Amino acid sequence: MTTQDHEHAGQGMVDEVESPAVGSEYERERVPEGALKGPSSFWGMYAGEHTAGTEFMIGPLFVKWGADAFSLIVGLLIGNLLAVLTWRYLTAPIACSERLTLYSKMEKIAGRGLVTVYNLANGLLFCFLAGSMITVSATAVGPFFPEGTIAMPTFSSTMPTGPAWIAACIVIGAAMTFVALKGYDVVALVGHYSAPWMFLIFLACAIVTLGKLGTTDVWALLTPPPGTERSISFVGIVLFAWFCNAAMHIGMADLSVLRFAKSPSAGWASAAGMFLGHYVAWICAALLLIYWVKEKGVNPQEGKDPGTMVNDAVGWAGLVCIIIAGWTTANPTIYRAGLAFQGVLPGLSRTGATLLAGAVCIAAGIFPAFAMRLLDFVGVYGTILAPVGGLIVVDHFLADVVGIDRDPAAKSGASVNMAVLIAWLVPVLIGLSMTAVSPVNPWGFEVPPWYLPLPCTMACGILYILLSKFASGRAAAAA
Amino acid sequence: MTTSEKSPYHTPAKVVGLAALAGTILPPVAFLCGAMPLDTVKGIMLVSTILWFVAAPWWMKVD
Repeated sequence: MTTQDHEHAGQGMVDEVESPAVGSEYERERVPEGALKGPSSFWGMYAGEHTAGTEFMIGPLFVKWGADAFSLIVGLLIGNLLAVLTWRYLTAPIACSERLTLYSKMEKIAGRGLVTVYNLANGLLFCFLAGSMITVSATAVGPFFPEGTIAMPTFSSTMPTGPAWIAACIVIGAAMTFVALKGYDVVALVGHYSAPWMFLIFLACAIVTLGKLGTTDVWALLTPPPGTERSISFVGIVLFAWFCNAAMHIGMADLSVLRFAKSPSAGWASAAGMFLGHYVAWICAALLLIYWVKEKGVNPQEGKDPGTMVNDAVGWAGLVCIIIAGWTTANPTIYRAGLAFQGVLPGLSRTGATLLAGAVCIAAGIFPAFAMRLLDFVGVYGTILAPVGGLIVVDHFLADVVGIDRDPAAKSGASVNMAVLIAWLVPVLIGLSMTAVSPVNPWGFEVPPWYLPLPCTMACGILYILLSKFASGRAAAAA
Repeated sequence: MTTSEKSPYHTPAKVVGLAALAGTILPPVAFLCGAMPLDTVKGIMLVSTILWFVAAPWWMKVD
């Protein structure tokens, strides 16, 4: 899971924030032919950006939920394959045809005012995501101190575990924020260089764990003991793997990256992130907790913090991996959250906006609830942001077919396209009200958040067509 | 990412980088096979990590 390639929240401030693999120019115009890059530029970028510290949380969370071996090995394979196909056959073709950032494309459809709302939602969600990364990184600090100095959170932790934990989160978060203030060229490069090594560290954790368990039968190890309650089904695993990056593929945030691709085949590069960073890394991380459950009697419902597990398996190299993986993904997240806040509050300086974002991230990081409910959070994140992709799909593929204007806000000059606002909010609010994270659920049943990005995106697209037709009919009648 | 062909450090860095990657993944395999104790594995992996971050910027130089 990553945020590095997300949409820019401001203009003229993005030079420092792009991945080394892709350029940051042409924010407000089509990318010219001469600036296009071949597929090889994207493979390393996707591999690095989808191997984050939070992968150490996701694998163990599957164990907590009693996922079986078939779901993990086959379900994750199918889900990640579907994600790659979505990037290849939906995001990349639109990116190569439009060659615009999501920000520019949305402004043409939704209007500048609505893009600001999107940025605010994006910025806040970024902060909570970066907070999760601070939480995971902080668990890597504990093993450097005598045992018990820093009380580590478990899956059931929602509140800070003590003053030492709070101090660890503040120090790590402040360091990340400080670097974000300076721009993140160096961090982007470190992330770039780290990618192959980080993947091998994940693999090394699993291999050492197999050695400790004295078996190479991964299928048997991933099979939960009889009587384990299953909280996530095969379909749930498939959908989680497919939509944990929903904002980027069906939500079209990766238009910003793939607009530089010479051809849509660059979308296949996402396979590097999905199969190395997600599929393999999640299973490796799951094996870590399985060892602690089998050999050390840890309750899978409580789990064990990533720092302790990784240190036990591969030592300090693993702790460095957790910190770097968290740092290289949280730092740009803080930076972009700052840009998003600045987009909403133009009077705020870049320094002030980044400090504000950093403070929110640190506050979120201190509370382990966000990291420990990462699967829910990722689903909510996709549910809120992915539906804008439905608008772009309609505008790109269907507008002429169904007889509505393409880029309507650009033509009318509207700041807020009401059809977009309603089409986005209604499915999202209904969808979120069905989840466990909603304070009010009038439906009498709960839906896991990662089931929602696709139906909400489709509903958003259909509503947008109906509302645009209705609006154009009224305009014609008035004329 | 493109590889710099001009740097005189590119080839040595590539050799060191590949050795560092091997030093990251082969010791765990040796541990799995019962051929190396875990403390040695951890030590070699830490040294390999340091070598990787020394070599990678010269090998994987971004233009």
